[in-house]
Amino acid sequence: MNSMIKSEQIYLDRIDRQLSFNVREANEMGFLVTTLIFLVVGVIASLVTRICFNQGPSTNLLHLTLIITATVCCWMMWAIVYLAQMKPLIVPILNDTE
Amino acid sequence: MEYIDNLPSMDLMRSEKMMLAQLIFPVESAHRAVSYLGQLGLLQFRDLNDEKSPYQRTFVSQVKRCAEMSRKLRFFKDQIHKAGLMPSSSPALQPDIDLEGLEVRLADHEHELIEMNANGEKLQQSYNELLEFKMILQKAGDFLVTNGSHKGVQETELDEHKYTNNDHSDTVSLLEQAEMQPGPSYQSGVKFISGIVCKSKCLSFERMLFRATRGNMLFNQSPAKDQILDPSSNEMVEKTIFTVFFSGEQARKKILKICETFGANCYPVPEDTIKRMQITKEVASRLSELETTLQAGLRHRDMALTSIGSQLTKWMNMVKREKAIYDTLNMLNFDVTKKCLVGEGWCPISAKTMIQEALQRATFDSSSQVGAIFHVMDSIESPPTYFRTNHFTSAYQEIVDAYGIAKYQEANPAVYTIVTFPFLFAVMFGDWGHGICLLLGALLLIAREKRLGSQKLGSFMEMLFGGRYVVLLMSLFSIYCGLVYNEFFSVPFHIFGSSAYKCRDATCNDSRSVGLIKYGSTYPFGVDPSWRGSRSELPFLNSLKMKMSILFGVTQMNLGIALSYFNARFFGNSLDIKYQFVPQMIFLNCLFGYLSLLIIIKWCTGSQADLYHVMIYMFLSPFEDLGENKLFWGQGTLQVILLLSAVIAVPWMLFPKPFILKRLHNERFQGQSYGILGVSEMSNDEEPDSARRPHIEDFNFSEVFVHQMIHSIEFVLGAVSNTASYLRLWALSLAHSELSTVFYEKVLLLAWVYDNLAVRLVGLAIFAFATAFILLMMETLSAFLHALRLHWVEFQNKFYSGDGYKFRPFSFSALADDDD
Repeated sequence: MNSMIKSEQIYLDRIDRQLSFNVREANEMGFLVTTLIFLVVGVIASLVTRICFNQGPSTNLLHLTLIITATVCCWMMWAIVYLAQMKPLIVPILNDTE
Repeated sequence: MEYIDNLPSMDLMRSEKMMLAQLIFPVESAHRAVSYLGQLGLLQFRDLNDEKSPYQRTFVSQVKRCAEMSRKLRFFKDQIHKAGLMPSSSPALQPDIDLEGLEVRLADHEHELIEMNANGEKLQQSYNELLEFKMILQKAGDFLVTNGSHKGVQETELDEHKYTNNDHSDTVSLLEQAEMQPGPSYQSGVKFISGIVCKSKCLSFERMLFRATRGNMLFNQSPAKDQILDPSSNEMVEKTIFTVFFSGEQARKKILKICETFGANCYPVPEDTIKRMQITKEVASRLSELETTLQAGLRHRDMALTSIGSQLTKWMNMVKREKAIYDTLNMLNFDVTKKCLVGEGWCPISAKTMIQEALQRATFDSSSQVGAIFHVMDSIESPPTYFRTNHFTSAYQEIVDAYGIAKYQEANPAVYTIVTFPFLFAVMFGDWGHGICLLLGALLLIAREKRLGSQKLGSFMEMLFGGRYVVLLMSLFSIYCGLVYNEFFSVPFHIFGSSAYKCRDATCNDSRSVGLIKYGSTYPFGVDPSWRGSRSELPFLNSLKMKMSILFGVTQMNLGIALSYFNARFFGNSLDIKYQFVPQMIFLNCLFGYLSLLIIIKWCTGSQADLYHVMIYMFLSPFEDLGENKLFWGQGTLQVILLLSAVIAVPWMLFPKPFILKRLHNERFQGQSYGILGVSEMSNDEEPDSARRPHIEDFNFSEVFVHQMIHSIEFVLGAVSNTASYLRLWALSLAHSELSTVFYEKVLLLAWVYDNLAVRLVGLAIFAFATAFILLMMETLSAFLHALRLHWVEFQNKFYSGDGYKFRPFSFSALADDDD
């Protein structure tokens, strides 16, 4: 009886570790995937502006700079909020009224 | 590094290349050439006659003529406005008139108009008098009739009052006598004067008359039923008609004088009723005649004014242009031969062909023998700064220019401001519901661009309209940041999937004491919706937003220092690169870049290290063991290295540069002291006041050293204060979120609890007003201001000198914008 409980415990621990590893991996995967999405969106936006608003090399460079700046700013904003929530030190404690 | 040099230059990054040009016009084509250059609008003339007063200049008489003409035009505009006519623009393009012809015409019109006005005034005056006379005849007739008919009643009354009222005893007895004799009253010595006086003065008039005649008078008054136009003040005043009964010649003289003083007009009213009726008829007919004459006069004047009005704008523009052309011609100098005018001006290098073509056209059109000469000059003086902006970028350029115009060819912060300014605004404003409201407003302004652009707006609307593209970007970024903060009028939504937190067990007993637990992967986009309303919401959000502010701040400041590197590289200033850029980068990043790194590592590892403690003890006891605050291996050694680098960086940016500058100056000007004699011989035949003469400056070592010290101290102390200043991103974002929550929970939800429709509507209305005025207007302005300050001070003081001057070309379209 005791040994069965112990082995169950070990089995559950292993699943727990596996799950938490999956969660950790899922966190990082989510981060990388979304970063990639931002990169792709930035590249597509620059190509679209190059095609639609082609006005000479100096103006094109200006447009490229604007798009890169906007993409970097938006990515930073998202990444900061995502990273802060990956391994939180405090958790939501509900209010008494809810 | 050469790759950077080989990149094409970016559009708005540096000022257009400018050149100083010298123009020589033959006198006969000068006027036309300047006019064509004004239409082109790409040349800024330098004032070569700076020391001369306005009356010493060549074309002063023409300028005076133009001023006189614009005075006449303003007079016409006033008259049209007073007459209440709308100034219209004539649809047909009439042939251009030259200046002399216009002058003559304007003088004629003015003369005509003044004459018409004078005639009109005289007619109006006689009309007024006749009108007053008519009213007096009516009312005075009433007085006299009343006195006669109530004879019997008054007699008994008089008898009663005779002994009670001693003051009036004389008057009473005289009247008694007048009544008893039915003949004309002048036989008994009682005369009367009737007239009309302003209602406001009536009381004092009566009192004065009473005192002057010692009570020996009877004053009857009644208000006039029509108002009369007072010619001096041009308004309608109320008047009172009076009749004074008196006796004696002395009294008459006194009364007449008093009437004159009070501005009361007296009219002879015949006593006889029949005569009165005759005169009334006459007066009425004359009145109607005068009315028709007046109307005809007014119509004639209105016609004249309309014909003037249709051409008024055209004439005003013409006169403005001519005055501007003569002002510009005044800036030029006469050549030695007195046959040419010489001028200097700044223009963009790209405009060279256009200007030359305009000059050729002018020469051809004025059929002059000699062409205008246009050639480039070298200059020591710094050129004006010119950015070619479209109506999207011009608003941002104005924002940057409000702080200081960029020095010629230094990096323009507007390039990055286009994105970072709305972005930092959005960090402080983040709520996608409010962002949508702002977006609707911005789209409305942009949709009505053409209509709003042509009309004259109030100063607030004008600013709002001018910044419509700024508001558009602000709203788009606000929507994005609102989605990241997960706030829609402070309500979170589960747009991107379910929350990452759930109860620890099925009963959810612990949720109010220990809290939920994170079981799944992180909420993919933005702040998890479970945080809203929880007790630990504020500690979490505060920590998040403070760290976010630091990260954004360090990034923007690094961008600023990088721009200073590009500036130094562009101007070929390797001294600045080695002894300013490098130590600045090292100092900022060893301290605050390291802090940013710690923040990111703490987030990634979930460690419980106290970053305040780490940073402070890095300075206080750098060699101490970190213990539980250790975030990564080798942290202690790294901290010591970073601290040492930062400490070295301070004297690195302070000391070497002044000494090296001194050495360079000595090398450059070593051989110059013998060359000065040679230069002064040649300077006789150069034009005075040209920008070409080189200056040999003194090198004041103490000044340069103090300047460098101030710069370094400002940077070192500024590193700390500027980083802390970025915490306003956190502060305003918190304020916005809290205000939004309060309005939602304490107004809308509170009103919604009641089932009553009226209460709900009232609650909704209060919520809408509070959101619109406090959140949308006040918070927008507040966040705008703080984002602006962050750009102007924290970002720009890393690289921007901003001591240039703006390129203001001589252009007719710019004239049309400033109204006189």
